[in-house]
Amino acid sequence: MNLIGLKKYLGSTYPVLPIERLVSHRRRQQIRKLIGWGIVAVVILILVSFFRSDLNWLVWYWVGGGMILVALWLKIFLLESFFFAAYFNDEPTLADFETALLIHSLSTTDVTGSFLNTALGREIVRRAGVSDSAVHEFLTTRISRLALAQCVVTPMVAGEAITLADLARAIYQTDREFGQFLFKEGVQVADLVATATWIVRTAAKRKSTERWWSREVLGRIPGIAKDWSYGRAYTLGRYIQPLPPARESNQEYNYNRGEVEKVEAVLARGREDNVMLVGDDNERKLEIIALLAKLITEDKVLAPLAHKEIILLDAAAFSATNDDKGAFERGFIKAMNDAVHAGNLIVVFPEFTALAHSAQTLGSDLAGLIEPYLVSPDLQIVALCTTDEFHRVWEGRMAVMERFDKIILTEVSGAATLRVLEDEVLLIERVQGVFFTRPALQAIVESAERYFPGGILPDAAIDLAFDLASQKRDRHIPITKGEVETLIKTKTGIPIGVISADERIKLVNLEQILHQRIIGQAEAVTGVANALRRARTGISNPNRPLGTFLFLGPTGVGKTETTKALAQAYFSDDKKIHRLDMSEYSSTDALDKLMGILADKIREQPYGILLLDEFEKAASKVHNLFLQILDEGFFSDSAGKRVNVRNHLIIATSNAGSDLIWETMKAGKDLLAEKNNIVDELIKRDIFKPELLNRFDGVILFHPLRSEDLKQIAKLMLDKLAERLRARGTILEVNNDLVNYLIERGMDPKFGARAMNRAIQDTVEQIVANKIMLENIKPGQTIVLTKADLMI
Amino acid sequence: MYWKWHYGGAIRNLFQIWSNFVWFIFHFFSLGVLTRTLFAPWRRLDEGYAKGLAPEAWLQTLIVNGLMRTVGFIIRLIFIIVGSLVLLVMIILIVPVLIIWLLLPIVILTLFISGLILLF
Repeated sequence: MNLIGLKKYLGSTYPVLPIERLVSHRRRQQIRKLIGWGIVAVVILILVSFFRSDLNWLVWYWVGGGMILVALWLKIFLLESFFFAAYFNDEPTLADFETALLIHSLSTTDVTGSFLNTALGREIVRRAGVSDSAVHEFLTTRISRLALAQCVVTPMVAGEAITLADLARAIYQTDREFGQFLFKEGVQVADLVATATWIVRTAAKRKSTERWWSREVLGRIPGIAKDWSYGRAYTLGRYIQPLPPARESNQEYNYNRGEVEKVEAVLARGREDNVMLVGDDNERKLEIIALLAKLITEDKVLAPLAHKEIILLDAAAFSATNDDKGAFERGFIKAMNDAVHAGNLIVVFPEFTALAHSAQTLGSDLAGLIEPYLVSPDLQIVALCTTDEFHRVWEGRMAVMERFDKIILTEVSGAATLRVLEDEVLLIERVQGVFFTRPALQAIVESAERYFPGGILPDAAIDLAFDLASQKRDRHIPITKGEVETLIKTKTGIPIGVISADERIKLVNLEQILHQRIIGQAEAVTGVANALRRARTGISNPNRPLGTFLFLGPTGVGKTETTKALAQAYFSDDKKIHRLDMSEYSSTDALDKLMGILADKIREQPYGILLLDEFEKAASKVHNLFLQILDEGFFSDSAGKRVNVRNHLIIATSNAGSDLIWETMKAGKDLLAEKNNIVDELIKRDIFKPELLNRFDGVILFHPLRSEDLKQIAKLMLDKLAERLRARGTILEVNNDLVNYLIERGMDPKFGARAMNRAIQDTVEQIVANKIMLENIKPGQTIVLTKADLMI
Repeated sequence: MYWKWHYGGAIRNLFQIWSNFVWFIFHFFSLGVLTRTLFAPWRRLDEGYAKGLAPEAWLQTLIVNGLMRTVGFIIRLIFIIVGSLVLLVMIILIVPVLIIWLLLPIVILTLFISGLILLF
């Protein structure tokens, strides 16, 4: 239906619309209140006039005035009732009230302009991340106007009411100029629809609480006398802690809904109906329990759970009060008997494993103590534990586990997190006085998933939103995606978001920058530079590591130096490297050992470069582990926890095939052209499996250093030595004599730059040290090494 | 349009809201649960009967339990009566409310005209 037809139709469905536009609901409420006070004043005046004989003659005037005020008050009351009937309309119509009101206010000749002039229209665009000034500029410079008759609105799902989101989508798609404007501002049609849906959902939530006479709101008031036929657990009562409040988010979309339903189903079964809730997010487990408690109060649970009461046992208080074996066992049995006697209790053990541990240190066995209560029909137990505790302590205890139904928390998806965040930021906004745009929320969720793998969703995302809000300086300007990216950059050191001018220059000239540290090796440098640019522009797959390379080549040709240069270029810190000597992982038990060490290193520093030296020497099981890591960017440690390697550049180095590289170079062949033959030979020799080699983003060959390369390296190394000496106040002149001497001493193509390094240490440094001592060189003096000095 | 609502939809809404309140009072006073458990002991404060032949102890328990049931019965009965009364008032209230609602347009008009007459 086009908007003209729709406007006409809605006008007849909601006759209150013109009144609402003339005098808004809020204004009418104010007037009614004012009249109400007027009536009170008139009543007082009547009483005063009645009792004072000199004013008696006024009474009937006051009564007349009062009657008119009451008539007006009642008239507005009727109008308000009429309004509420439309506002809370439950019957199916073509559009909900807010949308109808907005459509009613649209101009016949300029839909977009009038849409952007309504409060809701403006809010949608602001939340979508478009600034008011940009909207203003668009409105003043645009050429075309969209007429009401041109715009056709259809609901997202056929047969359902049209919402604000449908209207926003229709305007975006019909008004080309507006669509292009939003697209340029980074808002696509799906973004606009999602933003409008968020606003509609918030409004609906607010609306449901306004309707205090609905069963939904009345039902939240708990009834009296429900627990009179159940007992009280007096002993247990001493050890309970308060249940956290359930999150106020819409239950229909609550991301815990699935888990709550599972817990509810087990508890309602009536036989061995105990739950062990396994998951790493402790807060979320308590939230699930709190939500269930809320549903019980609101009478929205399965029948067997009505009138149940959930209590949370304070394990620390219990262990502290009962601190020897006898007291612990007596106390526990007494408390549990008490709970059984009460008859309607669901006892939750938030620190089940800790309590078991306390029992164990006292020489008692919690599992044995609790077992009889697990079969009692009058008591239900919910134990909470982490995945690690579950595997370590409980999984093997068959007798106990038989009585529990294990429920494992499913990971909260990005989409569900975004929904929670949409609700949460409204609370943050209210407290901190900031304004979040939806692109910022999307960026928060994506970053929380990608760059904070240790954090648990949705909490990690909510924490980020809190950080952003508290760091915001100018609270009048909305929080944008860019600010989220800046925060992530500061927190992790990983460059993300729009590439700045400085960074662009750096990325474009990356080869040159890398060549400042790496001599020769043009192919290797180009290969890694390209991969880095791909990662930085966001083209690379986010579900894999940032980049994966296998560096092949003889010793001392710059493999490690390239890695360091990369760390410097990408993470601005050449120390962000986890180095693992893979020759240590060649035995049969290597895999477990490596997994433990790797998981620890990565958790400690979740971003950086993973350098796997002498990769060919690792056991084949270890190679198989890397099949998964290179492909998916994560692995599971021995406790079954996921370790995320997606924020790492993985570089494996190997000397394998050095002989082939040497031969190729000796024969004067082009190394690049021979690459496939060399790789094939490595597969033939069973050093690497083809599937492993295929998983690297690039297999990069490092050629042996030529003499001119070595000359440059000698110069570079001497410059570094001079730099070190300068830091101590002595100046070393790097002259030709010195360079030539070093080349002579350190030139060993077999060991490349490594031999050169050794030559510096063994000879040049020694000579410098002797000279400093013998000639008593003072800070600020220059050391010049002549041929004579070097010949000693 | 308004009149159609006032004497049609509004009356439907009125009954709906009224039924919400009736439902709420019934649940708030837990009338169903209280009636079902009318003779149950107060807060499960009953004792288990001792094993073996001990008529004195048995009698003692019987008396205590009987007392608890009586206490439970009395308190519950009081709440049932209070709750039922409130419920009854709520149920009856629909009649005057409905009459007032139906007459309200005339009432407003009468008030307005009478007010004007008194003033001038």
